[in-house]
Amino acid sequence: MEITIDIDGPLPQFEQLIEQIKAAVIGGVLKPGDALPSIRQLANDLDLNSKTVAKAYQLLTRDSIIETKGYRGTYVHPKAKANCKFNLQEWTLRKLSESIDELREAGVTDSEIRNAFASAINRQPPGK
Amino acid sequence: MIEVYSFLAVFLVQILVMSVLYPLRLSRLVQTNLKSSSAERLAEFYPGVDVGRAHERFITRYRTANAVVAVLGLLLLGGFFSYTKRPDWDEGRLGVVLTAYCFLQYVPIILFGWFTTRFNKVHRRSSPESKRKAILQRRGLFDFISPLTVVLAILSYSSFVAFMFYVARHPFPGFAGPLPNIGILTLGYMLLGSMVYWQIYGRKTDPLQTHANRLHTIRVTVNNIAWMFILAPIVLSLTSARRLLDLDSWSPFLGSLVFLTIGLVSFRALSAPPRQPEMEGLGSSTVR
Repeated sequence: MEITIDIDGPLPQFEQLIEQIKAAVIGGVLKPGDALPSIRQLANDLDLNSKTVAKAYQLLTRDSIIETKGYRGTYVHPKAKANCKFNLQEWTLRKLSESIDELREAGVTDSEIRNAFASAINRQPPGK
Repeated sequence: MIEVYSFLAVFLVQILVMSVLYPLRLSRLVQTNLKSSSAERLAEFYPGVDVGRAHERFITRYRTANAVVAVLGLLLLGGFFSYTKRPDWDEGRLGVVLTAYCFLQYVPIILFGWFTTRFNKVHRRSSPESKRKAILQRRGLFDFISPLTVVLAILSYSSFVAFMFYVARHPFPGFAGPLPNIGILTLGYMLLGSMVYWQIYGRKTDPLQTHANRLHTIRVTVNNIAWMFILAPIVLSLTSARRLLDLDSWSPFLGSLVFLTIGLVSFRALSAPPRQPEMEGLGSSTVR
């Protein structure tokens, strides 16, 4: 499967990489368990910074579309196709909207919501 | 006298292979590669330069340099023939001249590489394309060489280590000990190993190279290096064995044989890649 990165394109390079890998998974070109090239190999082949490819792989791993099996390398996740359909950004937006609606119904002003959101996001997550 | 005639025969083959056949094959490969790149692509990467003509000029100089080296080799062959007829001929003196000539045989290829690098540095644009392509396929060592080759390389190295400890029990004058010998070979292995890694995972140096062409180059280079892994301990062991068995008169033969073997192994790197549609401009363009 061929990956094309348009360095003059409007989308960031790591997003282009993510979109094309997702499209390959949805289209069945990449199947669960298929091996992916290492970060260094792909970065060198595309003449990109390895941090760009690493970021794309990191986000794909977070979304369970790919998985890293230690020194054996990176593979397509067994549930990659189903996970591709899940849009984390949309889900986050929906959850936040629901919470904001609930707070507005309780009479909290937008300014208070903003302040509370800023405090909440700056709070250290438990265990860190 | 058998060692002298063996040496003269191997030396003649060495001249033919390194200074006649090798340049012929390299010239043919360069021309094939040039033909496989379309004129438009070349004009894109080398604006305002007639690459075909520049290549022809390089090839002519390269062939001339090799012809001079080959003639010099034939003259040396005659010289060696009459020198070894003398009863007081010394393999040490002959070895020095032979080694110097062997390195001389590599001068044209070094010059060729230097000219090509300089030409590319001056005339080639880095990459005029905004779209970069890659094949989403993992490359690994065993995609290019068989596990048997790796086993042979490990066996070769282990046998060398064992042999060095054997020689340490029956040392000959000038033997540096097992550890320096093993250390030098290990350093060589590390250098070759890094070359293998760079070949498989490193950046593509030629933007005009197609994906199929690149895979072919990696396969041939990695195989050549694997052969070096296998042959280097054998050559070093033979050198020690020669001293151990007091067979110094065979050293010119062995020296020539080593250079010939290196030449024959590197000959494989000059094989043209299999014909692919993309190489003929029918498929995708340059694939990184």
